Amino acid sequence: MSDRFTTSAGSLVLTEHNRALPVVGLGLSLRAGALLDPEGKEGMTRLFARALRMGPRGTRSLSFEQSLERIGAQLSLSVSQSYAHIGALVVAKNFEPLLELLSALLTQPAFRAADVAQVRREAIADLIASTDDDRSLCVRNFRSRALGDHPYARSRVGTLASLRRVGQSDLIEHHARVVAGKNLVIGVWGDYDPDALPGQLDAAFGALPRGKNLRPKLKHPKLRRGRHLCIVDKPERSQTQILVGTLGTHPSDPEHTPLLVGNTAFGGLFTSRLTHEVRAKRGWSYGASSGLTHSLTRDLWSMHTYPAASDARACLELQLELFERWVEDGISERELKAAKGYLIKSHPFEVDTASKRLDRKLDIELFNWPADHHTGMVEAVGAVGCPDIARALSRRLSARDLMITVVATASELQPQLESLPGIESVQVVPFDRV
Amino acid sequence: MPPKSPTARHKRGAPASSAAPRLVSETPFGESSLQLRRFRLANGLTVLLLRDASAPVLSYQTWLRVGSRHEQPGKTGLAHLFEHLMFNETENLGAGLFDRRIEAAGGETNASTWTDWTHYHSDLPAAELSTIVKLEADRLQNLVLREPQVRSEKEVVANERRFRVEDDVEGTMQELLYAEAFRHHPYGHPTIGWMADIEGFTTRDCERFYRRYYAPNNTTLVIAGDFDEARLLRLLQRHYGPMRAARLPKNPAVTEPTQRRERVSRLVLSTPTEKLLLGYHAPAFGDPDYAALSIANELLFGSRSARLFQRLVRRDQCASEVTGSIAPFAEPGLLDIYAGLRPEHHIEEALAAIEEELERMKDETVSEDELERVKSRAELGFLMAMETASGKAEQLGFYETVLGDAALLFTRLEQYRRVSTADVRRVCARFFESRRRTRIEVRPADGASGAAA
Repeated sequence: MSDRFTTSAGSLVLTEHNRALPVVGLGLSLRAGALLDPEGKEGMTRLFARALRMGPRGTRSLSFEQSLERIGAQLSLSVSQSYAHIGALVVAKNFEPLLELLSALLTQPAFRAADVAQVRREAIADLIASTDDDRSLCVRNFRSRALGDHPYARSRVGTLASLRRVGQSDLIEHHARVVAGKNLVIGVWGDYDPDALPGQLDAAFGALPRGKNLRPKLKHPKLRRGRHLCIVDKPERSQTQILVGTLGTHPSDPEHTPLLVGNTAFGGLFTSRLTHEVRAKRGWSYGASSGLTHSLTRDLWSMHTYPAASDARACLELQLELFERWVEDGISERELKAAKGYLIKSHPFEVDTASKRLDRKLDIELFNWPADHHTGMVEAVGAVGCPDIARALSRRLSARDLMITVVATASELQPQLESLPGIESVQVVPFDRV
Repeated sequence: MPPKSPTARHKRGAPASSAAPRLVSETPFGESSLQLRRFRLANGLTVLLLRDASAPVLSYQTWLRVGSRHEQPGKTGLAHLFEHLMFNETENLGAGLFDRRIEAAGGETNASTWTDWTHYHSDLPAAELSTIVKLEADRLQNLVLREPQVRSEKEVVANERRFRVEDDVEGTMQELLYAEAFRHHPYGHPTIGWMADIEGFTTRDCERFYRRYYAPNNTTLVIAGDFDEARLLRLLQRHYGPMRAARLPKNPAVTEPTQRRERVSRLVLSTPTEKLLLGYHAPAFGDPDYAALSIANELLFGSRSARLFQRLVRRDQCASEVTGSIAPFAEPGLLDIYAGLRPEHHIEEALAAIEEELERMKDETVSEDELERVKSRAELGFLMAMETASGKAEQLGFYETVLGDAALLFTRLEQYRRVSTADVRRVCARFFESRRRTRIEVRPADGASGAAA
């Protein structure tokens, strides 16, 4: 059973009642992600989330964490470009105490100077430690280059310099701006009392200032022409991380569903072209896949592989050939049937738990996607034909315009990679400067 | 259809039977209204059924009691390579068609291998029950092994090893930790295998492994979700019933000699900060002390209020991360502690702080409040692991394979609830012995300790 209502502060509430487990999940999503970070203070919203978790006024961080544990609750805070999210899980009998704790956390955060300094040091340490993760380096470099000067290209995690510029007053001002009824979407799933819920949520979050919905109005990113290669240079790599891609679609784009089906045939399944050619036939990479990223605007389409350094040049050349053939010729009727069959028949797994059903609804609200994006998916996929895919590919993807990021030891691979077909520019970035 | 292969299994052992699957037991699924029903086929195949019609989906899992523990020196990684090969060709199905059929049915399929088991799992819409029964039964008895596929899959696994171990600092440390801590027991070799062994496998090695271990009497099927039980049992009997039981090899018991001195290895790697990994010998998953040590581990590492998070990350601010975990193995494994240091901080600081906190756990009794908080968290974790059909099937298959009885899943939470503060102190004194510890230290190579600008 699902419901939709508004708190007295103007927060939209979406629910999915289900008694399969004696557990309740609660999500508080602020339409205020890293896009709102001021210029030069990238990473501020993530620091805001870290500092928020240090607890409400009058409660030390450790006491707050212990209070959560006493009621059997788990808490997570995350920040995407588009929104900041507080997620909580609790055994059903303790839902009300959880609401009390989260109400205090959201409405009366302490933001003590010492705590802010502490979480800033932690964020900086994590940023340095993250350079151990080649995949993450690859994604960060690829997105920032592929999206150019669009706000989505900005770093969500920040840099050492930008994090050092964020102070206590920034976080207090940010809180006053973004924590408002109309800017908050509340999601509840699981074994709660449907009759009591509106009153419980009003008691916890009804006194927030109404404020306004801060979802930014963004233009779509611009396509950068030509093929551009960036090598993220890291010593002693026996393996590479490779991302190749370009702009994709937004779910409101009429070409979105045909491109989704076309991508499923190209690199969305274990038996799709890319995986078959790279992994099954040649054994070059443990993983080989492609996909569309979704957000408030048109976002990226990309393919990901991670071959041994010795196979990187050949693998990348093959990927470019496969991509060109796909964009030029589309997919076969057999591939179409397989991709559509999978997307339609696997749909029950999109909605088999209350938490997934709620997530689908939250996507619509937080990303401003068409209301039938999920519910109409089966019908929309069913209507796609090969000519639709060929049209979507020719209109939205271009074999000439590609960004390529390779995490590798540049001294070993640069000469091989810069001679790849059509490469117009080559950039080498040290891994600790991504 | 591919030609019949000389690599097909030899039929041997006890004769096949057409007798219907026999109901062995029925157990309530925890505190829910669901029932776990255990059946056995005449050939020894164990079947666990959990009917849950809350969503029109099902999870179909095949658990084999073979993992890297059963491998010989020089042939490490064979169980894992074999897991990859099981997605190839059979006598009835061409190469790649297994995955195609699953995808056409709207399903997802994958597999995993660890020390004690190999696990194949597929999640499908409920209407595809007969598809998955036929596919899984077929590959369990009719796999075809050919040289080109073995060669290609060896390449894939070598790449997986580069990804998980060679180019991964923590992966490198974990591999070395187990190799140093277990010099005799097969837990000392990595499940993915040593690179030289992966490169050296032949098709014949793979055939021998298949014949030896992929038998109905070495297998448990776990099916959870929306199905008609009578129809499912008929399908299972039709497709698995003709398989013959095999004479399973008796793996000689290997006991790791008691470690009497600390073993220390130091590495220099391309990484920005120092790292420390400690391994303490820990009880097997079925040991009565496992629950108490798990609680101790949670007290130390399991949350933001945990003692070592508070000490290293919050108070001393010398580490960006500290974690602890106990291997859930059929035989005694390790409790490992990992600390990623912050720039300008050193292993010695973290080690001294960890040792001090472990000594406190031995010398002082933890408070009832601290213990109860951990138990509350454990309860939530237990419930969330059961959210999906796949989650339920995985838990059942794991308990059945590692402990020999899936129903022990339902007593595990009670075991946690019974742990006392005295138990925690006792197991800490028993297992946190620094002279029986293995230590891996990593320091950055020159020029690698850079900082993101």
